[in-house]
Amino acid sequence: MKGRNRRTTPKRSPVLARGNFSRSTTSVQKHGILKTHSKCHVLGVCRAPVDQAAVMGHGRRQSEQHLLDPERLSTTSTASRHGLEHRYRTRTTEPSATLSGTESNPMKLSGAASSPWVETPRNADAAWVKKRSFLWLSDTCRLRLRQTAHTLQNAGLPDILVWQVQEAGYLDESPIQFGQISTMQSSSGIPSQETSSLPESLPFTSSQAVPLPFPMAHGTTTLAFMFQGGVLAAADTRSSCSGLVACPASQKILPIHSHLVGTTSGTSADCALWKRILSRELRLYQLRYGRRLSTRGAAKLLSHMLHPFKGTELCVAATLCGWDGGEPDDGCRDHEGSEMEHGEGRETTKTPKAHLEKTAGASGEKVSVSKTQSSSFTKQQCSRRKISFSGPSLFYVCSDGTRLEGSLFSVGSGSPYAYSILDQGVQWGLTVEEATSIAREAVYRATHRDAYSGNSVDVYHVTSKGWTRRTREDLKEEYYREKERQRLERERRGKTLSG
Amino acid sequence: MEYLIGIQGPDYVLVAADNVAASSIIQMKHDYDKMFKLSEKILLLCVGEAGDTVQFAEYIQKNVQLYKMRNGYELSPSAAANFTRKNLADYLRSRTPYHVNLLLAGHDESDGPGLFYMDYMASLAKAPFAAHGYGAFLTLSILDRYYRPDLSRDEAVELLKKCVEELNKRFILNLPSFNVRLIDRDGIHDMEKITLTAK
Repeated sequence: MKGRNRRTTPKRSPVLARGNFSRSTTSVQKHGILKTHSKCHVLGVCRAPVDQAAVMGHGRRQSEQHLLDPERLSTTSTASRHGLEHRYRTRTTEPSATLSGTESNPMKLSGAASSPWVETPRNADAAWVKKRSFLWLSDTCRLRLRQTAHTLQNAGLPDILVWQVQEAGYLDESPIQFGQISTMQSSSGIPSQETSSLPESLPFTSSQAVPLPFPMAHGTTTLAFMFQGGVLAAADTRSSCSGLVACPASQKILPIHSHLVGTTSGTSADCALWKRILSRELRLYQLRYGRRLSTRGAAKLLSHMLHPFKGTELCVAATLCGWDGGEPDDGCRDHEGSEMEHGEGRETTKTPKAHLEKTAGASGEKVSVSKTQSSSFTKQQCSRRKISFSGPSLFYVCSDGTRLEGSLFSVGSGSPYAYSILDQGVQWGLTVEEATSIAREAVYRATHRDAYSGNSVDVYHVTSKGWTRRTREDLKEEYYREKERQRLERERRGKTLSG
Repeated sequence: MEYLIGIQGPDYVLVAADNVAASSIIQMKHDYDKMFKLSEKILLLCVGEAGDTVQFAEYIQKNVQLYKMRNGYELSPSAAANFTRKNLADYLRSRTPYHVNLLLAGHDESDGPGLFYMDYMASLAKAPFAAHGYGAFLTLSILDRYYRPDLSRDEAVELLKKCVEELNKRFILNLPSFNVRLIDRDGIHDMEKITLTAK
């Protein structure tokens, strides 16, 4: 039974929370795993250190990461117990093996160094995005998980196995206390046991903002622009940490869903976290209302979610690049060549999205078809529906509250350099190749000049059919190519002059 | 960095705001609209700290609309201004004060046109003309000199253009274009943008 007892806390540093649970972890198992839960895919964490760094960026304080949904935090290899094995088998099997290894011998750092987590985001993008769609548990699942966790806690396991985890009441109470710089001790409802067991002060218990262990640099170059072929997003891949390169191969453009991609800048950990929270919320929206939230809505949602943290050290500067796939258009207006989604009447979750992807390409005939079929319904929608926009869209959202719509943005320490390249060449009528090349060029020039940007460049292209990713390209090669070109040019000029 | 200006005439209010959305040294947008429509005849012009402007202005906007929905009639500009000021004052001594500077311009059936100046300290003043931003230092004296209570609309636009010219000449920052709107008893009218013409 021990072997099967996968319900242990995730290996992570002290987590502070108030809430239903009262288990706090006392062990800090690091060995390269920044933050893992048994449901480690929640944070997109991979076991292998390099990958982790890739995903999580630099080593921001662990505690600050746990601003998560308590249910999500709850150790849930119990997911398997509840018959969700078919979904989580790849995840829970391996991690639990390592966890049980830990249980039996807590001193031995379990062999999780051999990463069971084979598939990393970089290896299989499409699969990764698909897997993330399994993230969203239904409410009943969550409830059952919580109940199980309760029972296990009370099951009288030996202390060494019962990890105490204080769960964050995720924005249960006023967000003002949650991370704001205040002079009052905000200790309502927090058991004292917590503070004794936790060495660090954490945002929602301490009176000040958490002092960072070292100055974080927000070095990056990301850019995104719209053109006739959709939206193009490009970013470098260097994660820096006050002067050192924490990871040369991080991923700064994170897909949120099939038609929405977000570039991240600021603190990697914050960006990764909030992107995931945004995906979750968008998915919930889709499940609840049967249609996908537009990019504008997603931007507003993200902006409002970040608002309580204004004034704290949280730093997220993201551009959301998406293709809005034609909300069900009102039949009142004639749309030429716009995408009409026919799935308005359907409340099922997947079909609108799937249908959208199917109809994305062919606009012409679909318009007439869906019009006749859904004309009566859309007539009702006419009065209610505002002008629906379908097509590429680009929003810049910053944790200081800025939310801007535009057609060209560049964010990060290398952004001025990128802007100057982009401003020279970006217009609406670019082809995809031209746009890719100018995006690459802009990132390359920025990485050349900016110390905090470098290594490689990622380019994502969002169209009506979804996003596609260009293979990561090492800019070092580009530098040598350019040097070679310049040398040849000089030679040629030398020859013409002499000859 | 940002600039707002309002001029009240006998039966209208003319307002203008610059179009730049900046982030440290970079202009992120050149066509950003800083005016928020509170109701058919009330505009709120809002500048200040990055997120606070939009959050606060939208909050006021929604509340004014809510009042209309609940009570069946709209708030007058003076009432809206006082409501806004009250909110600013309430938040001023909280943990999250809103650092925004506002101009509220509106036209009332009974009171006529009104221009209200508010700043982040929650002060409120009804003024015949007003400006916010560093540009205000340069343009208020022009307004002092040339303003008359019986300006016609064209004259008011000319006065506005004089102010913008002065900004282009002496202000260190480049503000290439301005949104201009006019409010009278028929509602809000968009006027032609004032842009920096090549000299």
